[in-house]
Amino acid sequence: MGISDRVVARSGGPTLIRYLGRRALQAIPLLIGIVTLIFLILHLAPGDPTAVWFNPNIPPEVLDRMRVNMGLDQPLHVQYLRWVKAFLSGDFGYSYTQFRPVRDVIGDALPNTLLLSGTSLLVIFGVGCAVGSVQAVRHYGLTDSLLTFVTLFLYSMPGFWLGLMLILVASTSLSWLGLPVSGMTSVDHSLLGPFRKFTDVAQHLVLPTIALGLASAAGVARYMRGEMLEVIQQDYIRTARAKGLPERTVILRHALRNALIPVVSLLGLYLPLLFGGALVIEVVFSWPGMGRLMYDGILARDYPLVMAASFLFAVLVVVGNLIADLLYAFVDPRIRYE
Amino acid sequence: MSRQGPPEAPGGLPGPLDIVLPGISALLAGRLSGFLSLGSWLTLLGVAWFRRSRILDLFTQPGWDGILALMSLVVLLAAIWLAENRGRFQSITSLEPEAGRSPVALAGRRFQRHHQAVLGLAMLATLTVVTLLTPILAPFDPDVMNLSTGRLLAPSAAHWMGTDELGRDLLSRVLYGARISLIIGFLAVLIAITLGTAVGAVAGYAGGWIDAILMRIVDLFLSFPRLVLLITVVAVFQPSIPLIVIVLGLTGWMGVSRLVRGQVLSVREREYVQAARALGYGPGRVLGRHILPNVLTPVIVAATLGIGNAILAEAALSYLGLGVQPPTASWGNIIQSGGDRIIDAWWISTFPGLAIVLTVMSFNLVGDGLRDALDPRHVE
Amino acid sequence: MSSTRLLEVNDLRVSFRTDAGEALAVDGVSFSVRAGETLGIVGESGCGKSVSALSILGLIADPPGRILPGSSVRLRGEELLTASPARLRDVRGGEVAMVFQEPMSSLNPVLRIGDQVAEAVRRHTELRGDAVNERVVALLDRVGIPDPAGRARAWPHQLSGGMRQRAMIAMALAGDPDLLIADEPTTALDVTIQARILTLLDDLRRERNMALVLITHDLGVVAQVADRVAVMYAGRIVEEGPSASLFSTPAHPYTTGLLRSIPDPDSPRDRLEAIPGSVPSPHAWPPGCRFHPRCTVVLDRCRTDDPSLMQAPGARAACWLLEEDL
Repeated sequence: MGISDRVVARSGGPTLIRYLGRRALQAIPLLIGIVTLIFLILHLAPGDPTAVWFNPNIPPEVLDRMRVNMGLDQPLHVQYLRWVKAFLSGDFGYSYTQFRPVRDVIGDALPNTLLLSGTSLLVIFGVGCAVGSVQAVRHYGLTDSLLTFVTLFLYSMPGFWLGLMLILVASTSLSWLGLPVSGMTSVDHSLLGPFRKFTDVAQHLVLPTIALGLASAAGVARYMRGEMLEVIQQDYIRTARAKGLPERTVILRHALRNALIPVVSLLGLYLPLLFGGALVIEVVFSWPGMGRLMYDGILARDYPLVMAASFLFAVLVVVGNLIADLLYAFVDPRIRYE
Repeated sequence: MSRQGPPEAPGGLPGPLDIVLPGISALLAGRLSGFLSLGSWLTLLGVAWFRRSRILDLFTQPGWDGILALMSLVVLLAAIWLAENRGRFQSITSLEPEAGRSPVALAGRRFQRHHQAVLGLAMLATLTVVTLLTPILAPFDPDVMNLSTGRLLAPSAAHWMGTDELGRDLLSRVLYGARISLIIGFLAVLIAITLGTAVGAVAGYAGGWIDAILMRIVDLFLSFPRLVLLITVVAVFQPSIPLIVIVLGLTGWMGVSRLVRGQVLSVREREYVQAARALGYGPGRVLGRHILPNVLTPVIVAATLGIGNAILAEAALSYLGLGVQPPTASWGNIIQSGGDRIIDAWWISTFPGLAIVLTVMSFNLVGDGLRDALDPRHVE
Repeated sequence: MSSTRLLEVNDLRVSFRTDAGEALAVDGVSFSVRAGETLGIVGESGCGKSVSALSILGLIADPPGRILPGSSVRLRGEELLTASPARLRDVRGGEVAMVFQEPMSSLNPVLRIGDQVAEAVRRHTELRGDAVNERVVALLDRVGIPDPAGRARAWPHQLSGGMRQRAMIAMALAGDPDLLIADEPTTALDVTIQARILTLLDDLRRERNMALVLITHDLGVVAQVADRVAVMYAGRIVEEGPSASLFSTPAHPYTTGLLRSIPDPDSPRDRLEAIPGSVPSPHAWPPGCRFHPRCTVVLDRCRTDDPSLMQAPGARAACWLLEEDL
């Protein structure tokens, strides 16, 4: 996934689309690999494959019918091919516990996960870059040393524990803030007007986003600090100062722009962490997203749901990486050659 | 008595004499490694005396004590190896100011980093000692319940961290939980770096389509959030500690493989490797004796940081109930049991979490310190 | 006299805090530049010439560098070292501009050339909007960049070394400065391009009645364009005077040595004549005359007494030999 893999057009246009197309094409074998891995996991389980699907709530006749439907009576490679075809076309089967197609169940939950993850991403990179830059600019000061310790502490913290601590604080000392500690919406959500609906969700977002984002933000801050320190030493910063530009312009327009480039490449690495973390945070805060769905599915042995969720998480990472690659090419004009 | 350390040829673990002599000479020279060696020896002696067994028997004892003794021995060997190979880490004392890098900034950072690394090492050493001596240090038996009078007691003089919902002393459970988390983390990382080194070395050395396929597999595993893959596997199999260790290892090798591959690629074309090839050594021997010992230093950094990550992953898994199963105490599942009563009995979830933070912090400090020692150009 | 002196540097001392202690990189340097003239500052690496130049605009990073009290840098009589940060920012790029040695690393790699020049234009002129772009193109054209409008949209990595340096010069000219400091402007460029850049600088100087301070280690560069030359060694100026007399009758042994070490294609010699020894480190200046360990005509006095600049025919040099002659 190196920089040498990135080939972008000189200034957008048809070649950019070709690049996008090529990367998307490369993603397809990856997706097939992901399905294969999930399939392998399922079928490496000890015992009869149908035992894996065993759910005590299902009457045996339904089980038999499902067995035929799933093609479990077919040879392994046929099953595999049907799986691949089904997954890649979005057909994930039927959920045992929700009595609906898995696709619909996940379809309801996915946007919520994206909402939580997206907001956290903004926090992670917004706060992280800001703190890291401040640290770099105040390199010899007390601020820097203090923040170094703080970011190290936060970076070593399990997100779910932070979530619990936030719930504790929000319910006791800071209860006057009125921040909700579970769920995505209040009980009376459907009765609210559109603006109040928005603020309701926003309020519910606060604590989970902090819990999900703070540790990674600290990680980004540590990285950003190093990059900024390196950039500030560069000759072109000296040139900018020699032009008589105000220090603020020098830092924001010249230093930050350059320091942000490697941070964008960090985005790709943080995506798996983000989604994995979202899973746990959703459980802590009862957030109705794909993570909590997957967790509930595991407890209820709803395997179609679990496998589909697993697949989709991986897809999210792959798509996210694609977007990150594009962003990277946009941000760094040096990475452009035919 | 003053040996300079292992001979020039890279690689090879020290023999028994190599352990004792440098340790004593280092102590005589007042070096850190001397203190570490002596400290570890004393700890082992102490445990052996308490257990009324010979030191050698400690290692062969089944169960956690044996594993911990083994771990401390590895730490001891690593400390001595590191100290003896200090020359390689001298780069941070180099006075060559790189372009634009002011010498004072270099010195200031080195000072800070040095202190951070020492702090991390101290924390880690304390942790190791506490973990080894847990059976002596823990005030109560972690599994003993007190359903009548002891449930959900707040922290007090009798119970420093309070009690949980079954009346068990929390401090003791947290201490025993440390053993579990550390052992799982350590073993998982061992698997991860073994696998990662193997894959990376083969990919880097062989090149061509083997390299391409292996790297695609790496990409595949990297597409999964670690936790997602973990719980998918655990969902299908039954959660047990060996399973957790294996899956943690199987989800943490990718970074190491890339690292090793990069190193192998850069070392592959150096003269001494070509000399070895010219002498007719097969690829295995070339890899094992000449390439790997030199590429292992960043792996050590990755391993140290990886233990911290493994501990975090195991904690999350146990929190979800899919990791270490109660009544075995793991920091994660203690937090889980305290989750529902976080408001009434905040101590149950708080203290294990703090333990996790401090532990992971110490691994991060040491890892960062090692990385800075090994890469002088690393800006911080 | 001072009314014609644009820039006056007096007793400049700059120290650096390093691992090995405090080092005085510039130790009592004084020189002046008149309006419209070219001063060349020559010396080997480590003699303190770049640090002196950076001190004029206050571009020394503090820490670890420090301009010591007692130093003075006056621009038309105004003391720059004690000027307010706002005033200093006006001077930088406005009255005094600077171009640096490595045009690739001295230009911001993620901003277009035109944008970087426009930044300077906007900072130091009243122009806004389209007028800025016109000025940018005009500047790029004046410095000899072909297709200036097209090149303005390019990024630094798309230009050749010579073009980048020209762009840097255009950026420096944006504020119509009275003084241009060029720190090794041609060192990183091909020999063929060097002459053209120097000619460009010289033309610009004449056109705009701009003073030029040219810092280099290359005597050939100085010979081409400088009116007056100052030779630096070990943090001090050891000789200064009109360039013609410096080349014909050098007063200081170091200058003589430098001149002799220039390979002469016309008179074939077996070996290059280098000055014996090497440049001392700022941590360990030799006692007495700093050049004495390497001097071929060293006197006993040189080992103990440190000479200051003395009058010689047509120039000034810091050498006891001049006293001996009297």
